[in-house]
Amino acid sequence: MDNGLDILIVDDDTKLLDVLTTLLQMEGHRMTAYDTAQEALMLAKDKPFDLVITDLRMRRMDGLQLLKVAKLINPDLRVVIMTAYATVDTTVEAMRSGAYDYLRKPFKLNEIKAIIRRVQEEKREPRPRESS
Amino acid sequence: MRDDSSGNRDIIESVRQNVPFGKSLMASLIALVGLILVLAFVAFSLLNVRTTDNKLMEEYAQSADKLARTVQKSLRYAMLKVDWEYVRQTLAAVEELHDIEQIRVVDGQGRVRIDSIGLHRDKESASGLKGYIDRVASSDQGIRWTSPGNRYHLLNPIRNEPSCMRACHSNSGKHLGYLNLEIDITDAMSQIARTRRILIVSAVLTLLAVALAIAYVIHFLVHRPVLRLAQTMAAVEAGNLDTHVELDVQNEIGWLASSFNRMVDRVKANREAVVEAQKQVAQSEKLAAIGLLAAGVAHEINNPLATISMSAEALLSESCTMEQREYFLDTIAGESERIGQIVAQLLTLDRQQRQERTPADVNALLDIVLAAVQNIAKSQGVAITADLDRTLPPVTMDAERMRQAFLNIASNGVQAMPDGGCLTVTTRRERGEAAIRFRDEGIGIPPENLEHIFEPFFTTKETGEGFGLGLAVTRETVLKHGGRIDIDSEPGRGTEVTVFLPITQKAEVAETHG
Repeated sequence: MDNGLDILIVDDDTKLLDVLTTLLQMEGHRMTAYDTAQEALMLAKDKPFDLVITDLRMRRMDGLQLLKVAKLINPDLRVVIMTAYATVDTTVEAMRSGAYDYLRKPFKLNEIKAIIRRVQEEKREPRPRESS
Repeated sequence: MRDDSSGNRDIIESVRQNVPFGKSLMASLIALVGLILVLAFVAFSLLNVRTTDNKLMEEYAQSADKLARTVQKSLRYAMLKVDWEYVRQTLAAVEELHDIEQIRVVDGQGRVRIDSIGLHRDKESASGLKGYIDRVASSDQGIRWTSPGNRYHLLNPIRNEPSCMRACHSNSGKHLGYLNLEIDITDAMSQIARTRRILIVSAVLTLLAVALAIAYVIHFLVHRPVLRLAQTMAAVEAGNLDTHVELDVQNEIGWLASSFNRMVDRVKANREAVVEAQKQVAQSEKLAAIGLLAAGVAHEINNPLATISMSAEALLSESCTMEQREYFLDTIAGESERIGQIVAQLLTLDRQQRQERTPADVNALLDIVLAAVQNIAKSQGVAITADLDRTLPPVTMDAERMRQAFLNIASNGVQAMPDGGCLTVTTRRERGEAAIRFRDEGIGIPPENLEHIFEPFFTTKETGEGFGLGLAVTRETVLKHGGRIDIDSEPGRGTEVTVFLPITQKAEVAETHG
């Protein structure tokens, strides 16, 4: 049984992007990585991702803007926000805007794995999604 | 003034310089009041002298008249009795009186008929009398006149009365003759002159006293308070808001002074409020800057930390291949170094380095900087043009830090032109400052970014290319050297960064001697 997810990662820190992509690929997920929100959104429009993990603070378009636009394109899209500098305000705003979850950098691999597991369970149980 | 300190004297001096005495309030008042006083006193004195003269002369005339009438009356009886000797004796007695020059009776032709010597029959006419006699004859009134040599003359008609007619003058006409009295008025004139002198002297003394009184009033009521007001205003102008005009007077100037004092108090209160507000703004700006810095630091450090943490976890995983292990270890090493660099740059931003400041040649420094960026520039097809003013005097600076600052600006310029272009560096001397200009033909900076360009951790570069500290450090360096940095940019056309550094006094001297 293929448990691998289609995951889109967006972060302007290319090194972190690279490591996270490698790690999740090792876990058997199909990774797509972008370092700008615009490019990521273009793709998210055409391809159904199981999960989008985005950094909050980015140049030009930040994670919150990406979250809002992505939710307009696909309200069911699960978007996880990562941030290196979290305040209560941004957390609340992210969750209110429909973020699936919230990750504070530096985070443990297990934290991201737990989120992924939740997505996998959701995919299996209540609402079967088109899987590739 | 007793209480003049040297500062006060300076202010008085400056008032004198700014307000020439000819145009001063004091001079105008003295001139105007003085003129009015002098005119009034001259007019008053003239009037007074004239009146006094006239009064004295009138008194004199009256007494002469009285004498003449008395003589006439006393002679009348002797004449009726035709006692000429009695008449002569009376005239002689009168003539002996003090001041009386001569007394005589003349006829209508001006011939002397009887005087103190005796009766005359054919004595020649008294000189100059005929004209006066004719006037008396026609007017039937006595007249008086004066002549040179302080002589006072009186000519009274001796009327032909019924008793005279009965005696012997039945056909003698209206006037029997004329009594002519000549008085020496030298004494009277000298008395008048003395009175006149006294009047004039007292007038002049009064004038002086009044002038002094007015000068005193002007000095103490106007000049001195105005000067004090001016002193205080000058002090306030110089920024001393703790001063007040100390004037204990109830007049308009006193009112002006207290109004001015109230104004100074209000200005002081306002300034204190402004200073307080500025402090608060500075404090909140500082806090905001710290917040901004903290956010930047958190973001910049937490990112590599996240990478390191995940890489470490991956290394613990058993499914990791040798190749992957190597990749994660490399990543950990690289990201650790990245954190180290960020911290080092942060420290540079904070460090207050004052040492190693020596006069240095800005152009020589730029030569080194431009040589350093030459390679990258060439690889991007960027040409570097230097137009350096070689006469620029040395600037006292920490050359190493300034080199770093120039390098930051030059690198930014080159990086802004990925598709080639020209970086022009010029040095000029502008208004006592050294102006170092870096102009690129790059992508430019959008206006919304321009205001953030010097903020720490503000960057538009890709990760690994820069932390956004370069320009913040550069500006810090320039500011610490007493200079400033201007940035002017047009998206699509290029950016111009200008560093202004003060040319030190010492350098100026060195330049003029060299």
